[in-house]
Amino acid sequence: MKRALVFSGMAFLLCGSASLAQTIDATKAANGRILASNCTQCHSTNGQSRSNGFDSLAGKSYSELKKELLEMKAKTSVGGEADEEIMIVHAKAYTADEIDLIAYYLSLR
Amino acid sequence: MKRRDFMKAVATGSTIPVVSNFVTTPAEAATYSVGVVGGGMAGATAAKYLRYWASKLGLSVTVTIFEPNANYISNIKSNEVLVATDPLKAISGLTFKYDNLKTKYGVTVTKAVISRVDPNTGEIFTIVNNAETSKGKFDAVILAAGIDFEYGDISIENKTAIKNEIAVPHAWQAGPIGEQLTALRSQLRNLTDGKEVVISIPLSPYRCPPGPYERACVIADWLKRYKPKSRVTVFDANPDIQAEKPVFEYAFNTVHAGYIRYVPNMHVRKVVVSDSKTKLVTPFIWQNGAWVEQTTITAEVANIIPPMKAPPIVLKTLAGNLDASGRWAKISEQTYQSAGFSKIFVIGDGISSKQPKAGHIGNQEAKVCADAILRRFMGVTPYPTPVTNSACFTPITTTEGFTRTATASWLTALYRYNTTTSTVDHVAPSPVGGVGPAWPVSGKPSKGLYSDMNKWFKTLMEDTFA
Repeated sequence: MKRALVFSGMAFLLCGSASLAQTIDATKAANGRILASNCTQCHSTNGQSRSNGFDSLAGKSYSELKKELLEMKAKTSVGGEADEEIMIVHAKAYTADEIDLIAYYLSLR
Repeated sequence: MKRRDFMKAVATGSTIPVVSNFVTTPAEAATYSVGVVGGGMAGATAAKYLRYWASKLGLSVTVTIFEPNANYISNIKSNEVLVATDPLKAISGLTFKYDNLKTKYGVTVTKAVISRVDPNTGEIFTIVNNAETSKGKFDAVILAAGIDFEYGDISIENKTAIKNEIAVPHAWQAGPIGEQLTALRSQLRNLTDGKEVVISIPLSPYRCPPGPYERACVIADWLKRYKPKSRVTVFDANPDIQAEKPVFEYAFNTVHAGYIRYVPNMHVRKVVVSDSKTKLVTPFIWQNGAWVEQTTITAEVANIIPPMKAPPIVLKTLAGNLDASGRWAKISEQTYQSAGFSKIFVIGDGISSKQPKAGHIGNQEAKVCADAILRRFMGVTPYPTPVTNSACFTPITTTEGFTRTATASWLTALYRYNTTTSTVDHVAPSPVGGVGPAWPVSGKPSKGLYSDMNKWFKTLMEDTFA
C-alpha cells in the first residue's frame, strides 16, 4: 500500500492510485507519540506485548484503537475484569482529541 | 533541523515505507549531547528514549548516564524482600543491568559519583583523588538522582555497636545492595512472637514505592502466619492514609484486622536502641504550637522511615530555583526544564510536583522530558499539554508459600500540564455526562490483580531497561 505524508494541510501523495493511497499527518504523529508513550509501560516499548503480558497494540488499525478507547471512555458503570477497569480509568482521563492522537500514532507502528 | 522535518521524521520513524527523497532533509552535521545524572527508573528511561527517538529522527544525540552503582535494584516490589524465604533471590529478581541500554540503544554508562554540575555551562564533575575532574560539558543535563533522607530532628540514641542503618533501618532504598532490606527482614525473622513491630511514616511528600501502607500489609500478612502474637503499629505523621485510602482501610480493618494498629498524626521524633532487640519509640503530636510527647512503645523491630528531600546534587545545582520548602526542584512540568537554568532538567523523585514520587511516573516524566529535549535540539516548541500517568499495584497479602492467597490492589491517576496555571492537573475520571457511579481510582485486592502486578512490573522494567 502506498502512503504519503501530510503536513501543514498539504498532502503529498506518493505514486500509486489515489484510492489506495493513505496519508500520514506528521504533526499528529509527533504529538501522538508523546501521549502514546504512556501506553508502553504496560504494552511494551514497541507495542508488541510478550506472550503472557497485557494486550498487544501493534498491528491494530487507527479506527479499531480509537473505537476501543472511546468505548472505554464512554462506559457509565463499573464492571468487568480489573485490568479492564484500569484501562477505563485511563481512557476517561484522556480527551477525545488525545485519544485520536494516541490511536493515530499507535496505528503507524 | 526545521520543525517540518521533525514532524516528518517522527512519522517516518515508524515502520511505514516512505520514499527517501520525498521531503529532502539537509544532512545534519550537529551532534548533541545529554548527560544524565542517575540511572534509576527516570534516568534510565530518559537515556533509552532519547537514543531510541533520536535514531528514528535521524538526529545525532549522545547520551551518558553517570551512576555510582553497577546495577539498579528496584524499589517497586521491594517490600516483598522483607518476607522472602530467599532474600538474595528476591533481590536478584529486582536487579536490572545497564547492558541493554548500552548495546541496544548506544547509551554510555559511566560509573561515577557526580560532585557538581555547572548549571550554566552543563559541565559535569566528579572527584578523583581529591581533585575535581570534568566528565564533560553537555548540551542538556538531566538530574534524575532520586531522593535523600533527612533525619532532621529524629533523635536516635543507640547504645549498641550496631550502626543506626541496621539497628533501625528505613529499608526505603533497595540499592545498592539491599543491605537495609535484608537487615529489616532479619529482624522480623528473629522477632520474639508477641513483641511489637513499629513502622513510622514521615510527612508527605515521600517516595513511594516501597509504599508504607503496603509494607504494613505485607509484614502483617507474614506475622499472621509466623509470629501470630505480634502486630504492627503504624505511626503516621500525616493526618490520614495518603494513598488508596479505601483499599488500605479495608486491608487494615478487615484483611489484617487485629494485626495492624494505624495511628495518624504521630511524629516519631525519639528512638532509643537499648539493645539489639529493644527499641523505645516515642511519637509526638503537634498541638497548640508545641510538640507533645506521647506514650513510648517498646518494639523489637523499628522501621523508622525519615522525611525525604531531593538529593544534594539537585539542591546544589538548582540553588535559588527550589520550591518554597527548599527541599525540591522547581521545574516546568511541561518540559522538566529548570526555569533558571535552560540546560538543566530534573525528572523523578526530586521535583516539586503534585505527581507522586514513584518509578512508574518517573518513567513517564522521563519520556516527556526526552521529547522536550529533542524538540529543543530541533528548534521545535514543546508539546503544550503532556500527560503522565501513575499506576501502581500493591500487594496486600503476599506471603511466600501461600501464593494461592496472594492478593494485590491497584491505583491509577493521570496528570495533564495546564498552560494557564503552569502546573499539572490531576485528571479525575468522570462518567460522560456527569451521571452514574463515582469511578474508582483503586481496585479491591484480588488474586487476579496479583498476577497483573507481576505482568505490569515486567513490562514497566522492560520499558525502562530493555
